[in-house]
Amino acid sequence: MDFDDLLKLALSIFLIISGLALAYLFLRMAGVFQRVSASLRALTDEIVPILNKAQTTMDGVNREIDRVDEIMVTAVNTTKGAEAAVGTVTSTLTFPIRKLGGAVEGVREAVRTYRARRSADLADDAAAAARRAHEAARRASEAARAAEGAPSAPAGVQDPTASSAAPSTAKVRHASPY
Amino acid sequence: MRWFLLAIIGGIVGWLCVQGGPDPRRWPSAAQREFGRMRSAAEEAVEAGKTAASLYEERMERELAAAAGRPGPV
Repeated sequence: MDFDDLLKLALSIFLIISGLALAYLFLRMAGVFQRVSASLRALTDEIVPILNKAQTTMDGVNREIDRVDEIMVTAVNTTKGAEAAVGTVTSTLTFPIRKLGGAVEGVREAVRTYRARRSADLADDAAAAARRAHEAARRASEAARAAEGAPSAPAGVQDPTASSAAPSTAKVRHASPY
Repeated sequence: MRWFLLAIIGGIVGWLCVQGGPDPRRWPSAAQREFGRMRSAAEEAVEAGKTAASLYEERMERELAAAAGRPGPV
């Protein structure tokens, strides 16, 4: 047995050992892959129902959210309706009060204006009567002077319209709050 | 009723005497003048009353709107 044969024997032994190791390794890996496959199958079998349940739960949650949204919309509409109803009731209740107050205020202002206008008319009449009386007195005094021949003016005749020569007003202007 | 009518007629005659003098021939013109004055004064008073009433209602509407927290008339 020479060195060449010895090398071949060593190589053969190495190859046999390597083959055995690889066979063992592949055998173990097959077991591992088998367990992984079983685990994945079990995991899949467990997760799919869970996902189905989660989907069902999410659908229920979405339905409840939709209902809450509808409830909120209804509540908002109800609030708006109540506000409009309160406004309508308030306006309806205060309408007669406003009208009555306006009528009273209008009558008061009309009476005040009418009385002021009539007072102005009476003042105009009094001023006109005073002017006429003054004119008559002046004419009488002139006639008396002409009859007596005296050039002096009468002392008792005063102009009664000196302070109010002009008519008071043609248009009434009184102190109005408006 | 008779006294009431007599009182009314007496009042009218007295008012005509005051306005037109004792001469009844001047009463129609005096009555016409006074009625014209009364009509113009009444028309002016009615206009003033309408204006005052509308302004009062607008002011009250504004106050109510302010109290209720809603916009009132401009």
